[in-house]
Parts: sequence; C-alpha cells; structure tokens
Amino acid sequence: MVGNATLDPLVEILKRKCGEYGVAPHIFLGGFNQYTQEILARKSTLYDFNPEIIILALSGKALFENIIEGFTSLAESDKKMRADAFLKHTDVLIKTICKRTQGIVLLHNFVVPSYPPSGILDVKQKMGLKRFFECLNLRLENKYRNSGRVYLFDVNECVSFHGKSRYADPKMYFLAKMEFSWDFYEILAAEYLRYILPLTGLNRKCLVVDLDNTLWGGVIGEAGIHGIRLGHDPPGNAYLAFQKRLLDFYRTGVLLAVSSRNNYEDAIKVIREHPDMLLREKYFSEIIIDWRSKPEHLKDIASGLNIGLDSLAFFDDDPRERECVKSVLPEVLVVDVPDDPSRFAGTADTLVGFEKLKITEEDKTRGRLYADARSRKKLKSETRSLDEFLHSLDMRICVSSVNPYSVSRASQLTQRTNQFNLTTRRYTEGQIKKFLVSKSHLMFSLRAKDKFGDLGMVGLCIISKSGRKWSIDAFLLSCRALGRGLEQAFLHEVIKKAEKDGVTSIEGECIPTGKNAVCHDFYEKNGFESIRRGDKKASYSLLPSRSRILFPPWIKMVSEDNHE
Amino acid sequence: MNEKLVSVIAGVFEVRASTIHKDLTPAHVKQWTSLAYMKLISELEKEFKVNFSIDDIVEVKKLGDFQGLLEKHGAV
Repeated sequence: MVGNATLDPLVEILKRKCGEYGVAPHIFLGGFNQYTQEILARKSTLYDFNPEIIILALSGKALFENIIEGFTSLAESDKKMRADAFLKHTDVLIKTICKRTQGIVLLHNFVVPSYPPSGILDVKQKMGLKRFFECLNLRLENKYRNSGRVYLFDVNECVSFHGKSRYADPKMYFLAKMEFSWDFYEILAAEYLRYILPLTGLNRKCLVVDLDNTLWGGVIGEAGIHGIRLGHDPPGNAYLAFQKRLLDFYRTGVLLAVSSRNNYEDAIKVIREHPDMLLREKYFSEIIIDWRSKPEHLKDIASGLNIGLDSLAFFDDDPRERECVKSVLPEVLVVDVPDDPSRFAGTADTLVGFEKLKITEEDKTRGRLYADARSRKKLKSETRSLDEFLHSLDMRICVSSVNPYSVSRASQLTQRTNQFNLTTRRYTEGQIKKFLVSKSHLMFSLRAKDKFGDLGMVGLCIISKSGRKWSIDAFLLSCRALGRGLEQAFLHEVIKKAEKDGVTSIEGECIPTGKNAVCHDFYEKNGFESIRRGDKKASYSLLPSRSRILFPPWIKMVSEDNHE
Repeated sequence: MNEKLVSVIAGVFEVRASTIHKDLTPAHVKQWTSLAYMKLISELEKEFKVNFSIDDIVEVKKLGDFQGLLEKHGAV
C-alpha cells in the first residue's frame, strides 16, 4: 500500500478482515507521501517486497490542496493543465509498477467533494470543482479500462454508498492526516477483499439457496403452488427481483444450487411449472430437496460438483438453519440474510466472495457445463461398468502450448483449482504472460470434449527448463474433469513431448495442502521415482525414455484444428 | 478512573487493565503511538457515544485527562 495520506490503520484492519476469509497477507506500507520515490527509485523496498497487489491510494484533497483552495479564481487553462499533468505523472507510476512487478494495481479514484466553494454556481462554471474530480475519475477509468493489470478502485462510490457526511472525521484529518474515519477504513478493507479473494483462489464458486421464503414467499407444503408469493405484484415481486439477481450470478459463472427441506414433488413442481418462476431446473447445477439436514445437503452439493465446502456460500431466510450450517460446516460462507425479502436482492448485490478479476468465455458457459455434467451422471447410472461408461463418453482431448488467447484461462485455472493441483501455485495473468515469452519455460494446456459437450480448457502444465532437465512447476486439472483418466493422458503427452525434446530427466513435486489429497500419489502411480520426501513437499524424477505410463484407451487425441 | 474507560484503554494499548492509571503519559506507555492514540479516540467516541473536539484532543497530556473530558461531555 502506497499513497499520500495516512494508510496505517488499514494494515491491522486488512489483516484481520483477510483472516476472516482464510487469507494471511503480508503487507508492505509505504512511507507517508513517499509513493513517487518508492515507485520510481531504482532500488526500492517496494519491489524487494515483490507484491501481488499494489494499492495506490491517492487522496485528492491532499494532492490538489492548492487547487481546491483557490479554485474559484483559477483559469480554465490551469485546471486543464493540472489535470493533464496529474494523469501523465500517474501513468508513469503505473507503467513502472507494471514493469517491475507482476501484481495487479488497485488505483484509488478521487472522492468528489460536496459543497464546492462557488456553491450552487459550481454547475455554471465551465469546469466546476465537482466536475474537475468527476472528469479525473472518468479519465482514469477510460485510461485503464482495457488493462488486465490495473483496476480503478472506486473510492468515490464506496464513500457515496456509506455517506459522504460520515466517511471522514475532520479532526482526524487535521491531527493525523487521516483521510477516512476509523470505521471507514474497515469498509475499505472489506472492499479490497473483492480483489484479494479471486487473486488467491479463495472466492466462492457456488451459491446454494433455500426455496421457501427465499426464492418465493410462503411454504409450498402449506400454501400450495397457487398460494405461494411470487410474481409481478408485491410482495411476490421482491422474490422475483432476487431471482433476477441470482440469474446475473449464473451468467457470470457462479454456480447455483438448491438446498430445501421439503417434499421433492411439491417443490420441484414450482421450479418446473410456476409461471413466474425465473430460475428453472437448467440454471441449477445441483438440486437437493429432501428432509435431511442442511449440512448434509451442502456436503452432497460440494461432492456432487467436485468442489470444496469452502467454495460454497449459503443463502437461507431461516436463522436457525444458518446457525446450524455455521456451527457444523464453518468452511461454508453463510450469508447474513435480512428479515425483509425486499432486501434480498440488495444483499446479493453487496456479497463479497463472488468477484472475478476477469470474465472468461468459460465463465459465461460454466452453468451449462455443469448441466451437461448432470446428463453425464445420468448416463453413468445407466451404464454397467465404469469402463463402459468411460468408453461411452467418447472423450477427445487436445494438448497444445498455451498461447496469448489462453493466458487468462491459464491464470484462472491456477487460481481456482484446489484439488487436482500438485503444487497449488497461483499465477496472475502477468506472470503467465512472462512465462509465455520466457525461453526457460513451457506451458501446455489440455482441452477436452465428450459427446455431451465441450469441457473447455481443463488442464495446465508449466515446465521450467534447465539444460536437458524439465521441472514441472505446475500440473493441474480442473475438478469438473476429474475421474476420467484425463490427468494420466495429459502427463503421457507431456512426457512424450519431453522425449522428443531430448530431455534426460523430468522432475515433479507435490506440495500437500488440505485439499489436494486426490493427487498425492500421482507421480508415484505413474512411474516416477521418489527422490525426496519432506513434510512440506515431496520430489520425484523420471527418465522419459523409461516411462511406462499408459494412455487411457477410452480417450482419443485430436489435433487442434479438429478440436474446434 | 471510570471502569469502562480503563478497559477501552487497555484494549487499544493491549495491556492489562491493572497497569492503567491516571498519571500515565505517552512517555510511560510505549504502545501510545500516534496511530494507537487516534484509534483510542475513535473507540472512546464509539463506546461513550460522544464526539471530542480537536481542542479536547490536544489538551490530553495523561490518561486521567480522558476522565475529565468524558465528564465534560456528560458521558460519565
């Protein structure tokens, strides 16, 4: 964190807030108003720190103090000059940060001041004080709109939402140059989490919702399909609005699931037949309606989707159910649901934990992919043996080098994959791009499709080369592609490429986390020799020409062109 | 000193309540940094539902002065 005002309170607060979501950050705090030197200096503790997120917090009040004071007598040309100079200087800083780190930049915008000195005539000036800051904000937003590294952090919106009359404590500003009140630092820290969670792969993947009094008003078992409240008139319109908001989640790649304690036939009838029901079956990746407890439902949903419980969030109107889930399954994010259903949609709007740094094509179709998965499961129960099932899937894969088009998906895979991930190293797009141009790195992607549809890019392998040795820095497979031998086929292809390249030794490592037990024996199973075994990691090596790894007979390799 | 006052101070400085007394100054308490001081003011305002003025704050020389301030604002 660097900037021109007092940011010190944020350190402690941000650490605590991150802790609530399972993140333990190391924080570097720049000196008061030292940001220019820290960013531009050849040798700088900022860069030694090697940050993954750089927060550049500039207070407009401090930065433009002399402009604000004499604003009414300032010539229009001076205003423009100052704004241009600021943008130019800032861009140099941002470019330097991007060049010297691989992290993402959160650039604060400016709080637009209230009650400008020229009063009601501020709007009659060519460039009033409010417009001056609004223009700066807009120009910053436009400048970095297409950047994959720089995110404009909308402090102005954040302050407006919580109240411009309350975000600052003037005495704290005069005493300690604190731009914000203590409470507002808390709010800021929570907003930073929207960026931190997706970057660390700790954001939630699936929102599990209850039905009665959550997706519609009333209890279906008592009121019946004609008695529940759902539709275009109050109060049913509040529930409809909430469903619309959930559909937005679905469209950005968040999975939706149902957990309801009800008679299945009663509840599913509403989902299938109620004329005003927006969220039909196809939008849910799992639907569980029975009389077991909610924690049991959630466990089934997580295992059905092949994701961890810590990838789930739970939205239920009943405070007893929420308490029950909180105490039995602390990994699940339990949403604090307000009593009034007219506030459900707003609560969904402000949820922290579902943000994405980028929406990929994968995200837009993820919900459908899981609906396809349900059809696969149906087939699984119809076919007799596993072998038969795998053959019947008609799996086709394609292994190719990561290219500029697949960089963002590659980065996302490192950030989202927790189970079949040998090293769980998280990489930003910047880092992946660096590997892409590096002569000492190779990156392979695995794409797969079957008769139900395209699974997309589901695997990634990053190799670091040194002479005739390849070290596998990352090897992972998305959870939705597990259980079909794809990892084995992928490794087989990687080894084949190594052999072709004249490689004499391939080294792999496994770094155990609480979640990747599924891949702990992966290298050993596939003929690698164990060379070191520690608590924190195990290392393996293989002579490519001696490899006896089998390519699963139910998978076909296709070339890139045929795959599309 | 007021019991709640003592407990808020002890909480912010992260020391035992028994070590807090009215004559302590920044020179005695190494945790009394300017940052901790701002936090203390903010916590006291929240806890006692008062708003100190900037004059109030610069007048505080030792912890006991907060007792006087809270009395002045009718909070204790």
